[in-house]
Amino acid sequence: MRIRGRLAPTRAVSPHRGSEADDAALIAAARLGDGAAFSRLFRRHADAVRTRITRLVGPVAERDDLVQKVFIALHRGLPAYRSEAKLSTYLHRIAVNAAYDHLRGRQRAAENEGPLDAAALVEQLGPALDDQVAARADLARLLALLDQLSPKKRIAFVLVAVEGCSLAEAAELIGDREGAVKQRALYARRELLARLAAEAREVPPVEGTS
Amino acid sequence: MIRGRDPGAGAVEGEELDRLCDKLARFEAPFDEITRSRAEARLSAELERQPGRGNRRMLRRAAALLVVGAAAGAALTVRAVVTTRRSHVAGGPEPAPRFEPYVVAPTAGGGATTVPETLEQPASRLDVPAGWLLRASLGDAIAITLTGPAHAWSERAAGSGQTVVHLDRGQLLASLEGGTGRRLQIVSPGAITDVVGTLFSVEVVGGASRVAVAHGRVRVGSAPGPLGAPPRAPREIAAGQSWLTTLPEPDEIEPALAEALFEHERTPPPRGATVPLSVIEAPAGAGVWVGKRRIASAPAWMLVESHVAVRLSAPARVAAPPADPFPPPSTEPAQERSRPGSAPPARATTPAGPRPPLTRSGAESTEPPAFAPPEEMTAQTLFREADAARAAGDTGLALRTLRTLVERFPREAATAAARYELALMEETAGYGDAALRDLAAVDIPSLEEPTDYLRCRVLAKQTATDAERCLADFRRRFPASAHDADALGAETALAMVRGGCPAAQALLAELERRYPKHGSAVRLRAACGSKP
Repeated sequence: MRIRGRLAPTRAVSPHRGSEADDAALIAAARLGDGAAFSRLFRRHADAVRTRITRLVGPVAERDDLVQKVFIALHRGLPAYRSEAKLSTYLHRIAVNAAYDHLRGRQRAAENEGPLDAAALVEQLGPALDDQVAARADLARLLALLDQLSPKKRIAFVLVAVEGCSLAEAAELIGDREGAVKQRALYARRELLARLAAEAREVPPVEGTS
Repeated sequence: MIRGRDPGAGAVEGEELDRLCDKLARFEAPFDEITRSRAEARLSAELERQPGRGNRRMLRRAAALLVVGAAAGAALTVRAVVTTRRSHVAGGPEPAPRFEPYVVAPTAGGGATTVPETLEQPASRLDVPAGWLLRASLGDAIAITLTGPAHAWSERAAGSGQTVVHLDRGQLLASLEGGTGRRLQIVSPGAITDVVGTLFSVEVVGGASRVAVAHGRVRVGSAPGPLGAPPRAPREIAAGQSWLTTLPEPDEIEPALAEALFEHERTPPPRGATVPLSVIEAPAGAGVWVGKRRIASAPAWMLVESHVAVRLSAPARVAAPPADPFPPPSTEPAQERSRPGSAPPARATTPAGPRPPLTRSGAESTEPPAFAPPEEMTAQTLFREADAARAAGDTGLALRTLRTLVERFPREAATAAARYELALMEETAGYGDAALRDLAAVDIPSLEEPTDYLRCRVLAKQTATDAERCLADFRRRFPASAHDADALGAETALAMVRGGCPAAQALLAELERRYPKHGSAVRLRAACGSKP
């Protein structure tokens, strides 16, 4: 059993445009109550946060609310933020937590409301051109599969297998041990493969491991 | 890639999973320029509502002192409370969410003019006296209206975090914005009503409850009532139905109740910075308007967003809302702008003593106020104000605010977005030339595509030939645009107007080939028959 970094660095969420020194200056100003500085931080990082959240939870209607929550949490956490940690790491750790909370809430809601309609979600992205139709269908299919994973496994899998994070990076974002992240990502992959195999055989998928 | 032994799955599934993951890895979801500006505006408004760090520290200290004091008192009473009131929610209650009142007004015929101070304060228990109506928000997604006499209290279910409202007496109208994980439970005599995104009411009728639904659907289970009724199976109540829990079948919702529910829905809680206003000394029955919304009748006390223009209408004219987004000089008695930035945004800081009236009867001005934002307002603040004005339905104020923005800050990043928004509203209002002027000045690459498309839409209302050329050019420049189907449909329709079905033949064929289900394809095909 091994883990191989599959994704090129360009596929991961590029944190922001601009240097860490710029971030440090903006954080210092924002700590002193400079709203414009905080707005600039938002503009620099919002796209990367939104992309990461979208990959983790899907293109749900609440993703912009989640982005807002992330930046409100950042604002609250500015006094405690220590500059030796990269801002993008700190920010994405909050984003991963927000995504986890959202997925937990969705899991509870699904018990009463049923599973998420991934195809409908993807349709909300707008009209697809001819060449986008197949990609949208693939996206909906993967989202429907991911929706059947537990939130912890899903996040570990997306970070490692989709975004190409190393185990150390993923563990830092999740706030857990590398071993635990590795195990969840592996179990998630097994479950997904089992479901794909079951789909191919056209029989109901079996419950996943662990 | 994570690889391991894949029980029950072969290499084919592995490759398929990798392929699907690759699609998600390539899926980027950045904000577009407009959405980012709006998100930034919402964030700024939200941060303004949060107490400052210094204040938070003071609040924490004050809260700690309060907790110590309250703990001593609570210890004396908790035993009695626990024995008399047990939560219906497994695991016991978490800290209760608070109702935050935003409109307090006497009901018709109530005759009262002094707002009870207890109704102005955020609280987890509400006791609304007879003759009063109170609208309050509960968290981000719930708004309620209580018509007195009514008593309600809230709690947070342990574990699930679900908001639970207990209605002991009176009538409660409620709306819940749907969303994942957003749930609400109303516990009333004989009924536990579970809701996920809907507009409904619960009324205590003797020892039972009447549940009515205007939008969506609720599920009503049994709750212990004073009559000790036996438990029954949960029942779903759909839109348009009203059910008294002691009757076997639901009935149709009463028109007056349906209207009250829609009125409740039309009066959502204010978001962003708010200031308290009173209209106690205005003529009884005068309407209080924010944009096109009539939010209350005088006398009333309410919270309004700090930037909005609040207008009073005379009692005799309360049924005539301003219809034109660019209204001519008003004949209504008075209009006053709430003071931007002058009042503290915190809701808890209700002014002490008699509140200043918003206006007096027979006030002098008949002109809408000229909009003169304070000089210190930034481009972002102005953009935010315009966005909120538009959300409140006040297109006129939104237009004036955006116009101020582009005049004061011609080189700011937000200005291009403001010009595009201006053009959008001008196009809708029929000011095509103004829209074209603003579009010509939009100069950032990310807005190029929507700007070009909007220009074609404006031209389509002016000169068909120019519009046709514009659309063809747009489709050449942005072949992957999300507007492509609409642009092709419009171009086809214009060609048909110019030269009939033969002139549109090629375009219609392309439309049918690329977007067979598009509305224009179906409509134009019908117009041209089976073959163009």
